[in-house]
Amino acid sequence: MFSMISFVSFISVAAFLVTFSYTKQKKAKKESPDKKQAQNFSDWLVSGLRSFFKTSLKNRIKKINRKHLISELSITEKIIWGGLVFSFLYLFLSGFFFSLFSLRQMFGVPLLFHIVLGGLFAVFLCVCLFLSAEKFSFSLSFSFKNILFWIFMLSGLFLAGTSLCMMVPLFTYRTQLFLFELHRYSALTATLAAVLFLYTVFSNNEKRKNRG
Amino acid sequence: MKHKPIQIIFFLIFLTGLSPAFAQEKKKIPWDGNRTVPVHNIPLRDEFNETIIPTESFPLPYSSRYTCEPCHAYGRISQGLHFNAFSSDRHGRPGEPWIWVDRDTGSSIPVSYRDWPGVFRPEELGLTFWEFTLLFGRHMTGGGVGEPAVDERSPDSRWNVSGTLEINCLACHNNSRKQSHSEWAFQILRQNFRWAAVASSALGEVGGMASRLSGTWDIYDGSNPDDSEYAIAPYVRYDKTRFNSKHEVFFDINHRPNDERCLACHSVSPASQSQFLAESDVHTAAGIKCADCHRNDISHTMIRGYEGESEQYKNPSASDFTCRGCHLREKKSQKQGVSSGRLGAPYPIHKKIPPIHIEKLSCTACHSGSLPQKKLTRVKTSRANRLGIYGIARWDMDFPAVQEPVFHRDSNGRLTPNRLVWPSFWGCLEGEEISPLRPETVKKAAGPILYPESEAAEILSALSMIPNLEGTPVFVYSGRVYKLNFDGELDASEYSGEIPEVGLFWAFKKNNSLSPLIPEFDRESDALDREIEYRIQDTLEALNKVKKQLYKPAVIYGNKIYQISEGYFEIKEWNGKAQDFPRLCWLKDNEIKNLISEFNLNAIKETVGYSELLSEEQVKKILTALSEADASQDSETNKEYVYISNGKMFRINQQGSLESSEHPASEPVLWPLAHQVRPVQQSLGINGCSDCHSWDSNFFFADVTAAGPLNTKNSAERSAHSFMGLGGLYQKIFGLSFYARPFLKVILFIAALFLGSILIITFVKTLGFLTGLLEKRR
Repeated sequence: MFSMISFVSFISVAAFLVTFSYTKQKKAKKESPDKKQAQNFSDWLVSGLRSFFKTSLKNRIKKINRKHLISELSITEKIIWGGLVFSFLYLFLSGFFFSLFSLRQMFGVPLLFHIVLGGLFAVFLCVCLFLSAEKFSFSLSFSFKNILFWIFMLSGLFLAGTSLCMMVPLFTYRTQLFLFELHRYSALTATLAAVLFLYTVFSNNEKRKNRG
Repeated sequence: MKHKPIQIIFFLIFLTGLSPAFAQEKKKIPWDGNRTVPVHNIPLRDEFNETIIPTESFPLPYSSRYTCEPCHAYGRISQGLHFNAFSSDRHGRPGEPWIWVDRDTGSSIPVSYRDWPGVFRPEELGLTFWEFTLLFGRHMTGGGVGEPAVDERSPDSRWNVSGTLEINCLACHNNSRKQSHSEWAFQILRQNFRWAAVASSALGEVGGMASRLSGTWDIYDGSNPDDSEYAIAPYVRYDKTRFNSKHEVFFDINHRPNDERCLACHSVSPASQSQFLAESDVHTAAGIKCADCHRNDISHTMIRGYEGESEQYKNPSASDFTCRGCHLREKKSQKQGVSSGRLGAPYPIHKKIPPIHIEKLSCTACHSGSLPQKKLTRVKTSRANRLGIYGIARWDMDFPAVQEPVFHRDSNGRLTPNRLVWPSFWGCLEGEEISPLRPETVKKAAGPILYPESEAAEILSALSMIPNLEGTPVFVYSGRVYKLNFDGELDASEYSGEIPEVGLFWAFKKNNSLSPLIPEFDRESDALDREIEYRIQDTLEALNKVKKQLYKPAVIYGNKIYQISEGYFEIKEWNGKAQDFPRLCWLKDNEIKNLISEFNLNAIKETVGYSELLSEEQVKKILTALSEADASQDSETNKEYVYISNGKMFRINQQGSLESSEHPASEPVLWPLAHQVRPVQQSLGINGCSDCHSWDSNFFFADVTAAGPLNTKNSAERSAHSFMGLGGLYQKIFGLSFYARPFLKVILFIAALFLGSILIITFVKTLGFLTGLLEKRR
């Protein structure tokens, strides 16, 4: 069930983002819909994918850096954000790989790292929240990006909480099963929120203001 | 249409032939709903379906087929689990195999008619139904191979003398405490197959032994008028007080057999445990009988209670009698409309057990059998170790060594505790295949090599005849004292007292102290002390009676030799090596030999008083003897003989020494265990995760050393995780991670607290912000 919901969610979000990007670009170019819309869409998709795969990872990072001035972050900030992204990426890959592509639940070395990086993720998440809570406060702006940020944080709370609860000798087997499901759905929510959040960040054409 | 009389007669005969079929149909009467057991006042019938009159001069034993058949379908019952090993093609999860044990040759060969991994089919060993029944009938319920059809009987069998071993209904269903499993076993040993049921039920007293009768004897022959001492034909004297005037007998029948009846053949106990410390299964303690879960209908297709059984046997209700079926409210049961919690089965809370454990471990992994120790626990089982048979002789044996628990994946991929036995047998290696040899083949080739104790036992037995010996004759070798026991074998005990430095020291034991059999004396004196002279003379005379000795007994002391020559005691000068202590020996043409050969002494040293039965030197000699026996038969092909034991294959290499290597045939035979179920407080994991997840937990890293009859340092050694198909290094690292878990918990707790606090603050602030907006809008 969870695998199906996850699969459908990922496909839906991907489809939504692609369609949204296409429509947005059309609007930006002030092009009106025509009969060859399907053809145009596929051409746009192919060219987009081609350019995505043509660009090397290094160049892409450079591009993101140029656009969002990551290099201007302090080393501590880099470590914190990098750590959060890296740990979350691993947790996402290891968790969903076993959910979607394996009949077995997570086991072995991936599980071992999942536990270790889970702890790190919780720490990084706290620090990031501490640093950015004010920035994403609804009192400043009530944007979609802010909502996604707080959904991600709320999911993070559930992820940390359910992990903790499953490790303490307080809950029955049935409750543990519920906690496990809650953990998985929190992870799904966090992932979707993170994807949409990153999209809103990186699809923004405005350059980040120089802090200097 | 008119029928000829002959046609009518044939038709009637045909109908008569069909009568059992009709009877079978008649028996399919549905249960009327009454929960009582009908009073079984029934006439006994013999194997010719004649009513038994107990006052007759030579009444026949009752036949359960014909006594019970009128109401219970014997044919259907005979297809049940306890009787269908040979006839069924559905064998289910591996169970305990029969183990053909022969102590003399150090053979323990797992055999079964069921298609289970690692076991030999009896045919592979040349075991006929007759031999199989003789070997294992002691713990069989009758029926099956014990009751072969006439065309299934081998020529060498004696079924006509013994009768067939019919299903012994009372073995399970007799509620009387007089039902004797021991009596059943004795009758099997005596080949009194058709009398075994009546003897064990105490309906009558059985005498005579079919094993002593000629192969031509038949039940029609009746008693043996020519012999009233030895070859007495089996007979039964019924307890007449059990019969009423209609020649009916009251059977105290239990529809659901008592546990004692099951445990006669299914007991398992740790080998080193005292009886008063033995715990019963938690289900038994709760008042549940074996048959409450292991149920069956008239077909006797008993529910074994393992997961997957319902699919294998196409019996959906079987899944309700597994641990999960009773204790967990699993969807499967709900779908079928069957509720769990039968007989008050509690629902397990399983606090602090991560759900993955319920998915990946069988219930028995944590709750059944012996708790994992650093070394596997050795257990005795009724059928392997011949338990539960009591008489003058001891039937139980330490050998074979059954061990538990090793955790192995079942067909559902769950780790399940198993018992195991390491096979040991002599075999002929052809290519990669090993065909086992029957023990008698090995005995024939090996001869006295297999019996190193017998030489010493014979000498000790002879020495015990010395008059006025104030103690028991013993000998001391390598720091251990050996004495003769009641069975004519040797008993060994440690000895730390001082003895002369001679290899083999003969003494007599009195009040736990040893005195030399022939003490030191003044050897230079012209006249021997009278007592010494008598002792030497008596000893030599006693040794003269030892059979098969080719040498004469003598005592050598200093430069003198004392022996009996032509009936007279004589003292002569000894030209050989002078002895500092009176030495008892064999003498021939100035060649002296120890009373016990060095080979036998070494074998005694390595095997007597230990659970091992053979030494490496013996194995080497036996393998050579087997090859020589083969060569003497002018065999065209040179066969290579090997010995499988202790998890290894032993063979003689090109240099002529014994070498060991691994071979698939030396792998242990495993079967899952289910009982005893321990209480929650004794379950695995009750002390926390580190019960299993630690650097050197017994669960993953118990030492599994192959136990076998060979005294060797080359036994196979493994770690418990190798049976699970799991990596040892990973489990060690994973175990170590549990040391860091408390820190992880603290981190997660602080993180959750922090995240929660910020989120609450944000929520409150947002709420305030939204309220402000609303206010502004107003």
